[in-house]
Amino acid sequence: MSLSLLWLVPVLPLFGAIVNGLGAGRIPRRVVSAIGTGTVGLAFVIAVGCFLRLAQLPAEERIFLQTLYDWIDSGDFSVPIRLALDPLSGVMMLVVTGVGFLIHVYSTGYMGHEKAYGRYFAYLNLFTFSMLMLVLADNFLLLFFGWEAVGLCSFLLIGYWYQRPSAAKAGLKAFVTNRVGDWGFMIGIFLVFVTFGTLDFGRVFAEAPGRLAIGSGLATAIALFLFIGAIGKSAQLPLHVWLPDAMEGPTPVSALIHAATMVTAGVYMVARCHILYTLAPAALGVVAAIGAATVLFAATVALTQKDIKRVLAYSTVSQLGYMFLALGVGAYTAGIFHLMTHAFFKALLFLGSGSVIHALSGEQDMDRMGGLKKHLPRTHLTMLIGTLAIAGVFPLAGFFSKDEILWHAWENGGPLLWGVGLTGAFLTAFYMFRLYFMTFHGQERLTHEAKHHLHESPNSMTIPLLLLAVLSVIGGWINIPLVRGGQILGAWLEPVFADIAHVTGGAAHHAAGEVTGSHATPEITLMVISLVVALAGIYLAHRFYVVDPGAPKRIADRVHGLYTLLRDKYRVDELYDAILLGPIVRGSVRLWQGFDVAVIDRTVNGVGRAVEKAAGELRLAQTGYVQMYAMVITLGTVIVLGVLALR
Amino acid sequence: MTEGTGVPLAAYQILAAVLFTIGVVGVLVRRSALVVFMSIELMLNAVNLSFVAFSREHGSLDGHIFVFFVMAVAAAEVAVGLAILVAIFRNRETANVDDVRLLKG
Amino acid sequence: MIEGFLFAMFAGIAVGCAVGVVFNRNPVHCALLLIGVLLAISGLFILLSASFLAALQVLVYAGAIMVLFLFVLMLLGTKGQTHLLTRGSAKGFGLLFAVLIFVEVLWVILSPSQENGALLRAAPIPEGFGSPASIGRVLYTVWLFPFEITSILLLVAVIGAVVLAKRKFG
Repeated sequence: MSLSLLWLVPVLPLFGAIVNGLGAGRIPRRVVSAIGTGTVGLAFVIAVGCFLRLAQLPAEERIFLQTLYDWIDSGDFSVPIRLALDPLSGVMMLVVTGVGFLIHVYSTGYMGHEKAYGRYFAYLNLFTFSMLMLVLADNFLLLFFGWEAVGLCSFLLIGYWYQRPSAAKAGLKAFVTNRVGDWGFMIGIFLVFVTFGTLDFGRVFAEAPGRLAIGSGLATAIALFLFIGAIGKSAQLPLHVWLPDAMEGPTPVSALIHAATMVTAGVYMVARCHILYTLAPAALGVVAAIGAATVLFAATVALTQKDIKRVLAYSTVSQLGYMFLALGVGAYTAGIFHLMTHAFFKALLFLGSGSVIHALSGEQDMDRMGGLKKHLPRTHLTMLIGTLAIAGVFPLAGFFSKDEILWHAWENGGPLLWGVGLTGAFLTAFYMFRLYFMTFHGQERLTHEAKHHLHESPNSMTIPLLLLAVLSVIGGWINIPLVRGGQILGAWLEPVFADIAHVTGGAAHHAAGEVTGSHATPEITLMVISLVVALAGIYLAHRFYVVDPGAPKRIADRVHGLYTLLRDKYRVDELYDAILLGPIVRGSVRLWQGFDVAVIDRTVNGVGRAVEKAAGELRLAQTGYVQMYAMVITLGTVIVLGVLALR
Repeated sequence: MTEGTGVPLAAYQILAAVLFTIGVVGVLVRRSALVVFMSIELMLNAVNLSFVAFSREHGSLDGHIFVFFVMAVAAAEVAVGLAILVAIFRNRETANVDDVRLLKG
Repeated sequence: MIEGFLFAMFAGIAVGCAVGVVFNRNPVHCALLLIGVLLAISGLFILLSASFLAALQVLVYAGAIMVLFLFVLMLLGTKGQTHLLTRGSAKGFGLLFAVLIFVEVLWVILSPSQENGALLRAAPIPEGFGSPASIGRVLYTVWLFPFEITSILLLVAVIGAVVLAKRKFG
């Protein structure tokens, strides 16, 4: 198993996308499934092989470059298509191919009845290819290519059922909102190019400490503009608005793109460019602030949502906020750690909810669920595990990753950021268990139709659920704090983040999560606090949704204004409509009527009419009388003769 | 070799001009298509006269040759033109130039 | 002396008949008057030592072309033309343009130049000038190509005339 097979990892899904895309409708379903899942599965196997190979190299040498094609080569500026495998991209690659493979398998069951089956898998494979290109890219331009491509695939998949107006609109909203972020991202890339003359990661990051003074305006500008792209792609405040609407797409899509992978691209990007952010502490502060604000914002909205997928969507936004919070306080490993565990349990939760929806023949409103525990045993078990994981209950995955973030927030960010994170953790536990209890416990509030068709999902769907559940349990054990040798992930990622120490002078051990004795007591204390908080949230949810189901309504009526504010997601969409979209649309209409129709159309039509009129006048010369023609000839002769005679 | 007489070249030219002008008047003013045709023949003959006179003046036969060809072409033209006239007359019972104006724009 | 007289006579006949052609009501009369013009011009040709052409004029023009005219005249019938001249103000313009042409040509003719002043036939002309032999000698050598082309032209005219005058197609 040689590292030179790396290129197969992105190319296999691309191949699958091309085959399924071109043959959609003509290839039998089984073949489509086989190609769709097989290519990603094979890519995962090769990815694992490359990963292990990489691990065999000594730590300082763990970087493998593979040039596929000389894309741009103009004078001093060259942008090759080159894949770079290092510890960070290796982790991302495994997450994308691994979780992606499970979701592809799940899709064969979930989307089994769809007409446009081939189109779905083509898009999904294309997305996998794009995400892998993004993650394995060796330079900003190639990363941007992947960035844009995943945005495109997101649009295509959100609007998969494009015949539904809401789905089409949601896809458009996602794309346009992302575009706003991409604008900032592009400016960031331009600034990088102007400053460094190259877009190559290796060279830029090596030269950055020399060229950019810490805290300089240029460094901050670059970091902030790049971060704007992350705000868009990773649905942070204020560009989060597209993610809840993106739930219009099929549930596996929500799991893969809007939970496990695409939305994490922003986190990956900031982690990759960590040196630039280290050189711009102000920008890092902004990252942390926005991350923290997003955590609270989304968590509060999630409290009131009735649609099961919406709750998960806002939960994703909130958890992404945690990741940026981690990055913002310099805890890069923690951020990536949470990215990984979140991929496991959020994908699990989405796929589980998909299983519920599938079982209820399309019902997504939790008011019409309840008591499904006995009807859907496997789904119930896996969902419970996922919910415990996200709530941060020991010893599941979410506990370790979230705690790592909270610890570093306390250590480097101060009590305020820690407090926000803790509150978020409480809310997370509460609303996630609210979801769990409303769905699986309590009274059965199903519609007659749904009850009639109720059935557990097929193996193609439940087996990935089980696998993801296992990962959600053990996934956190690769980075156990305070235990000597327990920070496997931290040690693995250390070479990537080592250069921070050269800039900040020895603060690198925070990023890598080293353990020293003086940390032990505060860290354990905080761990206990967060565990208690999580359990409190679970208890409260139990009270409100199992023991005393009328309680939420009573409280909602008491604080009606606040309740509607949260339910209407702080009316951000309405705000955007009023101050941005409304004026733009009205301005466009005015331009259309006032200029395009009145001026341009009138001019063009006017020219036509003028020609017509002129022709009408000229036509009168053609009388049809031969003698008149003869007379004109004679007149001409007279004139010519006159000219000649007078010479 | 014949000797010169008293008729100047100018006389022949003026005569030719007069005949030509009369022909032009006929073409532009008459209503009957046949008479218009004849006026055209009149014009051609006037030109022939002019050619022969010049030819005599210069002692060259080129003018004669030209007249020869003019006559041949005139013959062809008359044949075809009259055929057209006959065809038109058969369709519309009139030989009036005024009445044939299908080319009106 | 006698030539001047002959010239005046032929010229008068020509002009008189020409005016008659243009201003006569009956087309058959116009045709006959045109024949008169042609004969007068033939006479003028003889005065100009163009004997071959004079003969051709009588044979071809007066003898064939005008006969063709008369055939068609007979074919079409000569129901009285209600109006002689074309309608409207066109009459005046026609006359005006014709007069203008005449004036211009006159201008050119009478402008001082060595040729016009000289008496005609001051130049000596060779023996057999205008005879069929001399014309033939030039026609079949220098002007051979136009000669051949003209024969094709005549063929085309014949075919055209036949096609155009047919009663029905096919």
